[in-house]
Amino acid sequence: MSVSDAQSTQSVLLAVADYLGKPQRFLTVADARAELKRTLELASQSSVVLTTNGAPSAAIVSFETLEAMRNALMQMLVREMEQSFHLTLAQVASEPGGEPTSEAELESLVRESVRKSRRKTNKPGKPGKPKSARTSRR
Amino acid sequence: MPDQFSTPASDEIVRVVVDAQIALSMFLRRRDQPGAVSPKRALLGLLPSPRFRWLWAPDIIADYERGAAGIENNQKLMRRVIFDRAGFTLLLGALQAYPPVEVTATTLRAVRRRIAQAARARDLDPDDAIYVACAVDGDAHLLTSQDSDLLHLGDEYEGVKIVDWTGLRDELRSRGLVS
Repeated sequence: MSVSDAQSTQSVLLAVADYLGKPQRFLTVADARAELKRTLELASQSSVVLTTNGAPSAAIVSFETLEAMRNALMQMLVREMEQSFHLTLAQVASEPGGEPTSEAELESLVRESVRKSRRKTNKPGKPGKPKSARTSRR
Repeated sequence: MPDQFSTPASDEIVRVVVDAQIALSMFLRRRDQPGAVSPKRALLGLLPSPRFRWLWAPDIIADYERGAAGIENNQKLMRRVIFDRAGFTLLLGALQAYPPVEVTATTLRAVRRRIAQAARARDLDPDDAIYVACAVDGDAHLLTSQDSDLLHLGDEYEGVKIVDWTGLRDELRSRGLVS
């Protein structure tokens, strides 16, 4: 991660912390519904907690905050991915050897693995892959 | 919310579909050259960017997972590489932090027909159709594939550019996303 990336991550995290650190407003679901415009105005400043029977049940945050939180989550997941990949170095060191292989050969082996796994799943009599396609247009 | 984080307009977001071969290659550590890192991992660094979106559909995640299992069961390959399963699982989690593309049966049927009509139809894999359909229904700019079969569909399908890894890298460079 470059210095500018790190600074950008830090500013996003600080922006989220700043927003979340402002006093929360508590509103009943009924009040929030009755005054939706005001509720959204409040949420642009700080999070609004919706209560049902006196207990917090949901929160409204500004869209920008939601995206910033998602961005911060992504930064953390990418860092974890890098760390995980780094750990495989130790695994390679503990299992010395490895046949010299060209990049083209590796690509071909990956392709073969993907194709073979698809054929295995699509064999008649085997459970098919999930069908997620919807029948209606967007 | 202070201005530190701004959401770009939707037309400023580069929307990409990535085939299983490229996605999985990022998680291979070569045993013969442990220090070598696949240049394709640059895509992982783009995940937090508000200007980049890696599109997915449930069937694509299922295909990635099947491919991962295929790699782990391929002894010839596993003698040459270590597959970073934990990192791969984190990628699937990161992708699913955004909602999936809702692929319609209509698009999927049209893509399958197109694949069946392709010049080398006998060589094409019908399972590739989900990638193309996801790209079409997700308004993707780019579909990237290392698979020559998919690339045989042509340079473009329904407004989606079909490119190999080099083509994707060039596109991302031209949009200032990678150096």
